[in-house]
Amino acid sequence: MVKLRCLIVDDEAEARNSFRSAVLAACHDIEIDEAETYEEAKMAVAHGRYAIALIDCNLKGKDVESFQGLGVARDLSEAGCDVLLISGMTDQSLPIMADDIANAAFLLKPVKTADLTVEIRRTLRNRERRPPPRSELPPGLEIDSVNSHRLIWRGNRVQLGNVPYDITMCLARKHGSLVPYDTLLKCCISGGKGALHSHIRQIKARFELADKDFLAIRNMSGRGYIWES
Amino acid sequence: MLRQYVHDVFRRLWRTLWFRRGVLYFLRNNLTFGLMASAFVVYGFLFFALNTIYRDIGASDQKLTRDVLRSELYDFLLITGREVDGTSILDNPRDFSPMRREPSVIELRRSFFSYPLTKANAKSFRLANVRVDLPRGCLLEFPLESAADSGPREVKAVQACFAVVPWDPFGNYIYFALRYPSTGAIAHRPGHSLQGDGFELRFSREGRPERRLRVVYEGVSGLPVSRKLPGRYDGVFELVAFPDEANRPTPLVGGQAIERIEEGDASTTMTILGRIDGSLLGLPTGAGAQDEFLSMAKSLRLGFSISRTGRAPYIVSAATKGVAKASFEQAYRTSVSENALLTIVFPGTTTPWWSSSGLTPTDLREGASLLERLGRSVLVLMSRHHEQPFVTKEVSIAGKGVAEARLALMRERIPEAAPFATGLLIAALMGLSVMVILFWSSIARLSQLSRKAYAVANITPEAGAKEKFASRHSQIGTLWRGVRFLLRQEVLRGRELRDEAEKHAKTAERERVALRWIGHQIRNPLQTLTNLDGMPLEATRQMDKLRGALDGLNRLSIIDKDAELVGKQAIPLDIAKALGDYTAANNSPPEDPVEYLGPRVDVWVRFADDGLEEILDTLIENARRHRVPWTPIVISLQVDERKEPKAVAIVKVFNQGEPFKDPQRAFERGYTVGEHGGEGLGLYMVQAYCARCNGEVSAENIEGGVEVVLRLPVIRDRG
Repeated sequence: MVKLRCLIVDDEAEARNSFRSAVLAACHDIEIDEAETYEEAKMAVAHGRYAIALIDCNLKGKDVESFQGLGVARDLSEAGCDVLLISGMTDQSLPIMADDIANAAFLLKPVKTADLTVEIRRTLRNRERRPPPRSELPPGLEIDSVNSHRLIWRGNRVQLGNVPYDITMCLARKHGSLVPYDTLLKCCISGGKGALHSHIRQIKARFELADKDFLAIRNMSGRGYIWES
Repeated sequence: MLRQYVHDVFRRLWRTLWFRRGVLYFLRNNLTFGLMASAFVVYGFLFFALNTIYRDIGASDQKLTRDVLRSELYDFLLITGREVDGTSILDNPRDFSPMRREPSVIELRRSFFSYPLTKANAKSFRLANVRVDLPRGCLLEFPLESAADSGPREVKAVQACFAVVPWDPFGNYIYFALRYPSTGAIAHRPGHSLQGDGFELRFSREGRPERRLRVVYEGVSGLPVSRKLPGRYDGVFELVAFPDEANRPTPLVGGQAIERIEEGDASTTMTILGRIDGSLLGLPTGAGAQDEFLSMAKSLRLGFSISRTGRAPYIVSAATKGVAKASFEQAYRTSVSENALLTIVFPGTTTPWWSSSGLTPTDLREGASLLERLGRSVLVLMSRHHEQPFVTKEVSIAGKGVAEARLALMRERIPEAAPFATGLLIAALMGLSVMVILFWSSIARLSQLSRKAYAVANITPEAGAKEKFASRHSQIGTLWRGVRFLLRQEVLRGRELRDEAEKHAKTAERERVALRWIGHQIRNPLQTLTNLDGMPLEATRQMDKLRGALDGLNRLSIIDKDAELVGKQAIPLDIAKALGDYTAANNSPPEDPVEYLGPRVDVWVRFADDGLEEILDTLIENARRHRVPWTPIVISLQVDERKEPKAVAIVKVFNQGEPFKDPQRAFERGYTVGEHGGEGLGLYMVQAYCARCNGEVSAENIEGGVEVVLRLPVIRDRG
């Protein structure tokens, strides 16, 4: 059996240690490589095949706005690696760029080791999970045959991050039925109902890019959400 | 050839300084000269129009005027034409000129006197056959204004005529005729009183006492009587005259009076024809004294009174003016409506036989508007030396020969519509003059500005425009340079503003980058510290605070982003059903009761469903924090239909508890930060979401608690 490999890219040793702890907490049997700079990361990507990567967007020595980590994430994502982008930058476009460029989940520093462990564990679990059969999905929604983490809505690709993807799949699998808040909140790394509502809004916005009349996801006041068939 | 010649001449002239200066001056002021030339052209057209009106339209008007004058002259001659007895007022302009005159003896060419009833016609006499034609020029008519007993059908005037005939073969007589309305005269009987029907004539001469002549009517005598027609001579009276106070009648006065009912109006009139021998009045007698007789007779002053039995007398004094039945003045005023001079002149003489010069001319065009009077004045000046139209006609004067009657227009010959049109043109000229003055003034100021602009804007022209404007030594070129200068000033100002804006933008961007960098620099060490074990408790607490502040900052940006999405994703939402469902799902009595008061369905607003739930979550969470334990949180819904233009759904969330410290500031971000461990962004989020859906939110302290009120416009069309 091939051992899972993880790449941690951050220009601060303390952060790399923290991330390493979280990865090991999520999975004991995993090989971890670290890179401090963009060049080291590119080298690692060129020589290794990784299942998961934790990457800081901004690497030392470069302009803080240059987001070299995104380039590394894109390369890894194209190689089939699940990426968690972590940054201290609060720019609103960064999570969207992470989604669009690298199909990566975005986490804002400081993130607690426990939360990061949950996220890593979920990523690894999703990696092993088979995509649901098409018959379970609502009409018009498909899973990309090339990348099972991408969705197709009425012929148009819908790009979603990890958490929105999980929420969407949770609703889609039970389409036509109410999905209570308790179930949906399990998909979120942190935050309560407010964060969930925010995620749902982002999901709707993504689907509206593919279909401006998208109204499938409806709120059931006080109880949860439903994917209306 | 000609072109070459002109070119050579121009080149030669161009070498002279004055010509070059003149041309350049003209070019520099081309706009001014152009405007002046345009004004002169307009002036020219207006004067041409004025001249056309005066000359061309006047020519046709002159012919029309002549026709009118001819018609008027013929009318005059027709009125003054000869009567059946061959007399005409044209024969005697001295007596027949005025229309109103005092009673006097006038000169007639033939006598009108005769006895209607004589022995010769007595047998065939019938009163109805008697015809008395008096010369109209001689007759004076005196209105009977004081006739108190006049009936509605009574003739209301007394007519009188006194005349002499030059070279009268019958003697030196003064003939007279009277006609007045009568009511049945009673004949005088000899020997009886002279009071009763009759009349009295009064004659006076300068230096002589007045002579009175009392005349009464007596029945005719000495004529054959018919048994078959015993009243044949009724209505015919002999005139019997008593001079002054004499008791005996005088044979020097003769005549008859006829009283009969006139045909047509059935009124009774008395017509008197009589004559007085001049000797009775002390006038010269005999054929040799004819001229003196005529002169003295015509100088007599006359008056008369007519007595009627039982009625008031008719009195005409010597000063009473009567209206002549025919006169030159009347004929002139009746026939000539133009302001024209009528003269009757015998060939070879300078003194006119008669002239209308003493009569006030009529001008029917007076009383015109100001413009018309102005136009007329100008046209009068223009036509001062022009010949006036006139017409002539030969006319025969008895005993004098053939004279020429001439009717000449006195007023200026101005076409009918010309004064008003001219007035309008003059007004237009005045307006144009004002305009030219204003233009001149403006151009003078413009020239000053141009010179200044030219001096200031002596700048290098831009490519392309140079050929068109910059090299022109004209006002347009100068103006172009001036405008370009102003534009350049504006461009420079715009550039400064843009540079300033860019500087501000760069500063803001630098600040934004700095904040990100600071955030990044804080978050990275915080990431390391977060996962360190064995941290002192106080350090951990302070670090949690720091992390909370950073989360708040992040949450703030998320709220703004989410509010935008709430606005975009708003859909028709049954808020009554949503509130009812929400309350049902969150009501946990007895410790956490949440109640809903309001309609259950069918109140529609436009809102994002997840946004409404997030708002309710926030408001209920706040209410739970602040309410009196165990008391219910009440959500209510009302629809206010009175709000224009749309009804408004009013959602209230009430809880008993402490009031807001400052309800007006409750929705400011961070206002309640830290009070209950929160970020103080809940109500800010509520307001942001509502604002994106055209709603409003407010907080109120009411009796027993606090209330947060949402106002959302109700929609009728859910399509």
